[in-house]
Amino acid sequence: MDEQEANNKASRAEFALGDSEDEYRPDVQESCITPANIPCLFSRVDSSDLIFHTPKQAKIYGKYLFGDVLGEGSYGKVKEVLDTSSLCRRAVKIMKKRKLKRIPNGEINVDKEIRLLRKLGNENIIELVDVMYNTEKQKLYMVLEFCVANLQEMLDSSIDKKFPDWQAHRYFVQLADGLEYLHCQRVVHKDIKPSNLLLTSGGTLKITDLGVAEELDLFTNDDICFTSQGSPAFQPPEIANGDESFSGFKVDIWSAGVTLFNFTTGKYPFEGDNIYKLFENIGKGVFQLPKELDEQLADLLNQMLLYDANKRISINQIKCHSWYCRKHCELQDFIQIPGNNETNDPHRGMTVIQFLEELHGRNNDLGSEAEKPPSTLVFMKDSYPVSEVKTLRAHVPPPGDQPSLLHENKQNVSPAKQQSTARSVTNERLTLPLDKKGRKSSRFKSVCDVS
Amino acid sequence: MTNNLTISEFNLIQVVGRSCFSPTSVYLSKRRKSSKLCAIRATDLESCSLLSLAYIQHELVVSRSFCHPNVLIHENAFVDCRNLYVVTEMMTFGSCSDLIEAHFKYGLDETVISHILKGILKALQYIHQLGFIHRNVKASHILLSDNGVVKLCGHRNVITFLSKEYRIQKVYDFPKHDSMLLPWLSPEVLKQDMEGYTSQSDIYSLGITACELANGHAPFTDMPCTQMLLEKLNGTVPCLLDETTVPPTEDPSSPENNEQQMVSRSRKFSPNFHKFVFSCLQFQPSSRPTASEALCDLFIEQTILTPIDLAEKLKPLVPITSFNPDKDLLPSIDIKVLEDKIASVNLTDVSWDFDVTG
Repeated sequence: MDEQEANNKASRAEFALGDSEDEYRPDVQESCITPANIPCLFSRVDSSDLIFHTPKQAKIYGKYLFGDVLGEGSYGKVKEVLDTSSLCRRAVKIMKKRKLKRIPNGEINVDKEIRLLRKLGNENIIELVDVMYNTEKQKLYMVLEFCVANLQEMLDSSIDKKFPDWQAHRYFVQLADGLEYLHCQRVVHKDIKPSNLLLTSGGTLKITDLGVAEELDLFTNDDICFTSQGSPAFQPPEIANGDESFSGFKVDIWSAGVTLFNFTTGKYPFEGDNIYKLFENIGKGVFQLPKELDEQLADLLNQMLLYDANKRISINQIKCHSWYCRKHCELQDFIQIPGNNETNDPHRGMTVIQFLEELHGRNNDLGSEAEKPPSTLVFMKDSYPVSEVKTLRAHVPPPGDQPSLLHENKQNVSPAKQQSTARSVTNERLTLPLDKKGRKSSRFKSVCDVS
Repeated sequence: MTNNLTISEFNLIQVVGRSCFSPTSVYLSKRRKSSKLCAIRATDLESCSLLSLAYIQHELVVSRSFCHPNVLIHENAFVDCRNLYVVTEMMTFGSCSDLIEAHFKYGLDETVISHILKGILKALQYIHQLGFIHRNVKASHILLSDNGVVKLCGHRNVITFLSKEYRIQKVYDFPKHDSMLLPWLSPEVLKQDMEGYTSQSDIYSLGITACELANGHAPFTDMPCTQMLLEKLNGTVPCLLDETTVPPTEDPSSPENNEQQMVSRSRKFSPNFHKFVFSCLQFQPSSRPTASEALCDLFIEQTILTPIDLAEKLKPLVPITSFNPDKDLLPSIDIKVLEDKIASVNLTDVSWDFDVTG
């Protein structure tokens, strides 16, 4: 502020000497100081003022108004958006081509996920609403149904990292329904885990992230798969042992079993300090069920986590299991969805409101500052050209370059997660820590236009 | 419904309305056997999208589970050829938005509004008691007949509190396929957050409808829907336009001084009406009266003291059935026959004779 003071004083003096012959009156002179008669090129503005006064710029792409980031993964970000014609909340998964190239099978997986989601339609599977491709920015937008939370978040927010049995049952029933549907559509999900299970505000579970899913051939008579890219802690022994081929459906059963184990005990059946130890433990197939566990639940878990995939329980048998069919007493308190940490909103309301204020509060001209793509770039669900994704596929690295399943990116593990290595391995595929950019203490803002 | 009705048993007299949501036309019709008038909604199933088909089916199922004098219920539904026909009672004055469009451009009379809202509140009280939320209360879904009966229709967005296994306290579903409806939706429905909403959101829609009936247009319809969302979430409460709410302007030539403003400034709604609308449009759902409470509101209760003759109040508009002077609509002549007759008139043969003296 000293510089500004000095500037003001200098110009004041100049004023008193030159143009005006009036006596020196600070109040009048203050009001005369405008950029036009001050020969200064820049002045200092404190960052605290700047952040407070400059609103974030509203961004519109197609008919979607962008809000806050909901999650971040190796492929890019997931943001909340608002459909400006129906006012429906949506989530958009933004994928940068540059980033996808760096992920093993990245582009193939995205292509496959879009193809699968467009085909599927079930209450417990996430709905793909729209796909947009921005050639200029090399970004792919997948507009999805909006979900308020994922189950991992809810588990993390609870005291002992688990759900009461009746709540776990409510989710497990929906998971089984979703899996049954997927398997009927010859789709193996391969990455069932709490963080891939989302909840709508109405409490409906949605299976998401079909990035590593596999669609079985229409004419095969079994469910044999050869590859898996799922999260290590949820992999069955046949994959941990490196079997060449295995039953795909039974992989999902096992992962669902680990998920149910996690829901009800707050722990994982198999842990390990690193991925090798973890796979060694899974390969042995020995795990401990807590003694206080419900008898029927223990039986179901034992059957789902059966070492021999052939003897492992099937989805139909699960649906006939006594724990599944039983009515559960609502004795313990329901674990609620935690509020939004960033905005401190207990109801996780719309985050686009701040941008709406910018669009309508200041000037009533919608989209004046918004980024609007040429209309030809926007592809609705039904007119989405496959060729656009095909171009993505052409740049996939040759098969030889694909790193094996056993890669651990330790450098990406945040300090908080290093405390429990088992957890970090669990979430390895999905969550990468945010690298938040520190703000500079002050910025310089040009006040006068030199030209 | 195991009846073997066919459309040949009905005489479709004329189209009285169309749906903006599906390829549906509403016909004024008459049952051939009993000569009883009825309305028939004919939907072309071939050109109907799967989505609107699902909504139509939902509407029929819901309509079947209702039974109340203020709720429009279908008497029959059948498929003939490629059309679905839904037979309902004929509401001779049509919908309230028809009335506004036809004559009451700047709104209906206050006594008429209180009569209409009373009927709709009774319907909502009944629907809410059953554990449903209507979610589609607006002037175009309020039907009137010449004997003064008010009925609520448009049940396609009805949602229930009764889920598969347990009764839920709140619902969260957003009617995402019906963007026409947005101005009538309550802030809590639009918010789509974890708070959810209850039957109180219908009371908000009723408040908006009250403004629509009184002002001649629904609030928030003159702006982009994103701005409407912002206004509602910021707690803007719409009001009735009259001399107390529209300030007079000194300059008579100002562009603000349009017809709407002139009309608004020259009328005065009762304070009870203002209060009623204000209470229905509260931001907090719990601050709004329930349907039962609203029925005891002074504004609604005044209808008991002064019963009105609806047909008289709606003049110069007349019921659709009164266009034919001899009450019995086109007794023997079919529309088809008439059309043929008109087609057979040969205009070129007519030679004009202007000689009046001869």
